Amino acid sequence: MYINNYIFDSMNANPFLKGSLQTIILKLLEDNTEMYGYEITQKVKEVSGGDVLLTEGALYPALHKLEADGFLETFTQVVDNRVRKYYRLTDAGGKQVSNKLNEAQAFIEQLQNLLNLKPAVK
Amino acid sequence: MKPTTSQEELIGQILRRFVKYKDTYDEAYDHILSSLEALPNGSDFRNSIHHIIENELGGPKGLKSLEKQRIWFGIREFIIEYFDNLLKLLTSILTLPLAACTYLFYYSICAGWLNQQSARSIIDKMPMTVFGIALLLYLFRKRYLKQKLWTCIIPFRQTMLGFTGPIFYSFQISYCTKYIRFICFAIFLIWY
Repeated sequence: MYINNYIFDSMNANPFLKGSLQTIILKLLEDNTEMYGYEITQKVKEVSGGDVLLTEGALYPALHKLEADGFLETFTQVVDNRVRKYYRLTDAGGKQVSNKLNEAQAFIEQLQNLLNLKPAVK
Repeated sequence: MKPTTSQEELIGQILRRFVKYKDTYDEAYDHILSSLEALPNGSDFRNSIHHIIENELGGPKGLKSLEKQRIWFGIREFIIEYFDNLLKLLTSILTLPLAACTYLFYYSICAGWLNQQSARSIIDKMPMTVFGIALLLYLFRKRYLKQKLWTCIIPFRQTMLGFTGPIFYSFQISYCTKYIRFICFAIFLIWY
């Protein structure tokens, strides 16, 4: 039982997902304007039909890094007597979304070419 | 399931065992409660908490790592902000009048009006101190004097809670700045 006897554990993350995490977050925030951490995980779960489970141990560091880089900004609201931190895109973040999406698209195409999953699109 | 007040307090107690900073605490606390609220009524509270903290937040190790990273990003952002503002200050048209005012204070008032050797050593520094505080306020005027620095970097559950709570957390920067200005002005009046 956690409360009486805590077991230490480490997180495992899919390397492909981890590499695309910032892109996913930025895209979600572009589509949804403002979101909080738990909402992002649920949205990813919903959109992927439950196939992609975003662990918070990976999500929050990514959110904090994007915030420190100036791509996201935060604000808080009191909801049900607790503080909820919302994230939204800054102007720089808005521009970064298209860059990240282009990068992701290029990577997927290269991967498809390398693994011969489909013929290269000329 | 909707946790009861005592269950919410228990979650807070558990989190405070691993998390020292309010920013991380608030985020993890909201996450746990949001996750609990999404569970069906009648779920076992203790098992649910255990599952959420272990599997979703990475356990104590994950929480500590999250907090550590948060502090590092906070400090990094703080340094960037400082140099960004310093650059803006140096290129601002306000710099010259501010420096001129300091020069006038320093030479006209201190050296002329108060020409007492015994008090000079301390009094001489006052205008520069006032200027220094104004400079610091200017450099950090944007975000960090608001709330963030105090919630990210200062531990909220230490003995300073009573101090950091009312001063730095509840107060917004506008109030803080007014207080600091008032204190500076009061010191200035007392000395001169």
